Amino acid sequence: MGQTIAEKILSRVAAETVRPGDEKLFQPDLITAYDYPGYVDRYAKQMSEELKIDRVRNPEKFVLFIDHLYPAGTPKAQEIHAITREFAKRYGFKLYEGHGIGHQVISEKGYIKPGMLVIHFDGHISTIGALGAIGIGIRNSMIEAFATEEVALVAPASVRIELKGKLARGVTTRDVFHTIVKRIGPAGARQCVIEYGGPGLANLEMDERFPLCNLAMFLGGITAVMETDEKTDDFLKSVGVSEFTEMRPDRDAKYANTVTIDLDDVEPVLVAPPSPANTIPISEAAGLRIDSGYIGSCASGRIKDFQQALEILDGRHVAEGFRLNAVPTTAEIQARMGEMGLTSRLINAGALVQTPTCDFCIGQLGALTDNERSVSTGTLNIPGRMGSKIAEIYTASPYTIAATAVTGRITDPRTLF
Amino acid sequence: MLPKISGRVAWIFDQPNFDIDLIVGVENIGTQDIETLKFVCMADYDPDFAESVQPGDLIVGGENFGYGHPHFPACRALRALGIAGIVAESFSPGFYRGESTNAFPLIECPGILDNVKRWDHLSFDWDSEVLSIKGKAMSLQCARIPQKTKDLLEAGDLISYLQRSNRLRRPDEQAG
Repeated sequence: MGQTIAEKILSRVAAETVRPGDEKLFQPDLITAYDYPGYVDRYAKQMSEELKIDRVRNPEKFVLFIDHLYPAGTPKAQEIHAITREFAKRYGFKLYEGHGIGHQVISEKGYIKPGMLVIHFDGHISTIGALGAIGIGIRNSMIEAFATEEVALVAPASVRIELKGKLARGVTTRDVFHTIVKRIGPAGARQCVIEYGGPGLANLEMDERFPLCNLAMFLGGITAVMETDEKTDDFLKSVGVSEFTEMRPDRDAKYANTVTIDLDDVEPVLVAPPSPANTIPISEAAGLRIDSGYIGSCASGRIKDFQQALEILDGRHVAEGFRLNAVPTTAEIQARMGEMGLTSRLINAGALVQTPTCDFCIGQLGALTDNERSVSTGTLNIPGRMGSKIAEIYTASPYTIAATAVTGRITDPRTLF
Repeated sequence: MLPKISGRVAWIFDQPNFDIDLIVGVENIGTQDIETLKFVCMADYDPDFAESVQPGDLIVGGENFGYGHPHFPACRALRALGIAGIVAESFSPGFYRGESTNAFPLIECPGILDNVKRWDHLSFDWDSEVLSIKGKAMSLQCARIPQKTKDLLEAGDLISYLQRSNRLRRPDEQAG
């Protein structure tokens, strides 16, 4: 019987054929985490004080990141980072601090290869699916991974998203993802791996692929994975990974559901408050007054996102009183933006170009006050996510955010080309 | 022994895709102090919640309960107020993973919303995985609970589960 990409990866890791529903222990290829109160600080304590583990068998399998509450704005946040630094040093784990958001840095630093199984507590590790690997967020089972280098998983079924066609100008993969949410529902891939493939994938650049995988949890997915191709190979070569295994499902692989998305038909959408489940056509909110915009996060904030924003912003200026934060996902992206001249163009248009950090997405920086409204490429728009509980967050594409920044009102970017 | 599930329905979140961070407010997801969490828990839904619940009470949820970013403070707060478990139409996988790892009983029970109202008394049988409602002749068949989840619930927490599991290497095996 044929296998999906996820079944192939899990079977390779388990060294036996794994079928959906099988409950097994798996040894991940990589175990990764970032610090935030109650996570790495807690694992550090559990490892040394409760489980009394002095060292791990394969420290090279662990990678830690400091990307939240960064740069530390309070002594308490700095203390959390200090615990992480000490934990990494003690067990010999690689730690990246100040390189940007770990969910992307892990790929930039060459850790990810197609076919890998990667474990994190945070489900947005699904981002690495764009490289043909699977990243699964297991929440507090992380201590199981730290202590035993194994995790128990029930092997998931897959939902196949078959992409065809090509995106029209002004439309991005953020719009594609939330169009899929609208079409199959926010639980449309519940408990499943979302597998993207089909001829339309070739028309998407790597920077456009990461967001489709990053957001998997908002379709109820355990994670997402993509077929690999020359673009995947080019990305991997650019980060020093020469080993390339083509990841494709078998022709007779079985899926829980198969959905075809014609990229030509996708239009700009918004995700209205109070949740990522709430996709609306842009026309439904057009003209709504907006106070701030944010382009960044682990979902967006790559070179392509800023190029798209600049298609609108070049030769224009952010509206009076509007705050536009442009936050590169990683330091490497930030450096490339400078070399390519994108940073100065953003600044000239009135954007505030910031240091890579998770903090704009979680309201630690650039926070909203009562009754404000924001457009954001962050991951989530529940009340309070970016500050006040009575501020509203609309998630949208970089094009839509740029167009909205220029007019101060929700604007369909296609009207400004 | 698996925890006894027999208690009143303390609250019903009937909306699908409910984000549990809202139980304590997103501004409190980095809060670890349990007294603060108890104080803010459910305040946006029912200011008298803490006073009206009793140990063993249950929460009922809708489809894809736990959608979004399922941080831990919400259920820590619920447990501290005596909530013994959540029965929902279905759970979002990240939430299910996280809270079952915290040894919090989560029971997926299709049909629950149509059949209960606040303060009904529910009982769950771990062997047959059937939920019954006091005073009603009918019962509801729930989804199969993975063995690992049951083992965790029996152990009481993940650390005890790992210590029981023989999967931790003894110190003399840790070299190399």
